[in-house]
Amino acid sequence: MSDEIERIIRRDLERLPVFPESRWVPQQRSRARLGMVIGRAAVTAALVGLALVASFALLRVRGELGGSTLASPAPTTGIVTATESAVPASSVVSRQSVLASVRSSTGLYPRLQRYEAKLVSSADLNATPPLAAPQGTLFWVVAASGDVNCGFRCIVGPGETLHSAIAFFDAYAGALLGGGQGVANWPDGFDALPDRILAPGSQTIVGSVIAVRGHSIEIQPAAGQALIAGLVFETDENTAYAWAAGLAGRSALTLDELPGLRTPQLLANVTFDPVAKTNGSYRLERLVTGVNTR
Amino acid sequence: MDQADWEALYKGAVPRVYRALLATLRDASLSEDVLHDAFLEGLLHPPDPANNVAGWLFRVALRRARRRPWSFLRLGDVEATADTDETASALDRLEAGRLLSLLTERQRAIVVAHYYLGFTHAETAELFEVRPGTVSATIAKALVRMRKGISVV
Repeated sequence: MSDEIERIIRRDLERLPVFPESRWVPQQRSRARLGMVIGRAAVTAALVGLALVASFALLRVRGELGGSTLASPAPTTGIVTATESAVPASSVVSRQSVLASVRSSTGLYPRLQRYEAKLVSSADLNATPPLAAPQGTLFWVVAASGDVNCGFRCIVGPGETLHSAIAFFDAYAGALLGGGQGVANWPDGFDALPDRILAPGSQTIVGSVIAVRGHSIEIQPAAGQALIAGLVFETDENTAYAWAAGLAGRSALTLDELPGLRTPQLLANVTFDPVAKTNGSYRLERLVTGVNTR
Repeated sequence: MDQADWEALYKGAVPRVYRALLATLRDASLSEDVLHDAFLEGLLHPPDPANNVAGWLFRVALRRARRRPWSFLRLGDVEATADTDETASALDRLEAGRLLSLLTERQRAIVVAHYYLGFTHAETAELFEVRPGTVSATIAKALVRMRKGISVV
């Protein structure tokens, strides 16, 4: 029977048409593609460099979380000129809705450790190899890492397992446009993407969580920063949450999912829109909490 | 090896490697694209001409396909070129295409390397950097699946 199968495979595959010989060698594109190959190497090197810079930054933040040093830029609340966000948040589906969509796809993603979403344009994607834009103008791109199953016609090599995934959503309709999985721990190119939902001039501070009331969270900026009084931040459907403990960070979908939020003096890294609301609070864009594990 | 030598070697292997890729990836456009990538990789890092060029191209192209899952999953690219659609549908019409569709991507790659490209178990194992026993077991499982497919023809 195996001989019969071998005969069928040999016979039938020889019948498959091959694309025109004029396209065998990418002559028209060879120089450009060669440049692209080299360019990819350069981009990879750049990303590695960025990753190293980010790692050092993370270590520094961890130091801040430990309460030893303070290096985050001091917020300049009260004197910031109001600016318009690059993309009005009201015109697109929310960050949390696309994250929830990915997290609920347990068939494809049985267990996710970390997931992040960024609002990007097609130009952003096409300028960030190896990513490429689907048809459309504005997308939510969700990157995830954890246990990932093969889907979307992905290819898994012998002995390889999937650890990361990426998904593209139409930012206006919320429809899933495509996605993929990879063997790396995090999708290439994602960290280099901008996030167009963030307010221009977003600020980041380090502080201690004083109180959590519904969708509001009060933070006492750490000593040494420009602000002394506590600041109140309001969360919304576009706020991102993460928990950093030791070397393993993980993401959360809501404020309630962050562990230890009631822990006295829980340290937090807070990114926010520096333009104060009429009630004096600030829109919380990203909250990273954690404990001092040293 | 200069560019002309590499191009000649590459052209000699294109039909078989392309068919092998198409049977494995089941995507004509992707198969052509990653074959081009493998050609360009050969320009930068030419393989030893004493080695099996077809095997080298097949392996590099498959790796390329795996490394860019994001780009070939663009569901918005529904207006694929007509010729690639025809090629893909030709595979579906063939009995081999139907049998291979019963397999996983990994099984297809190993079966195609062994039965179509003609690599021995040991060569296939070297190609995919696995043990020969893994190749044997994978082919055995694939045969079981394909035999069931034959029996219902």
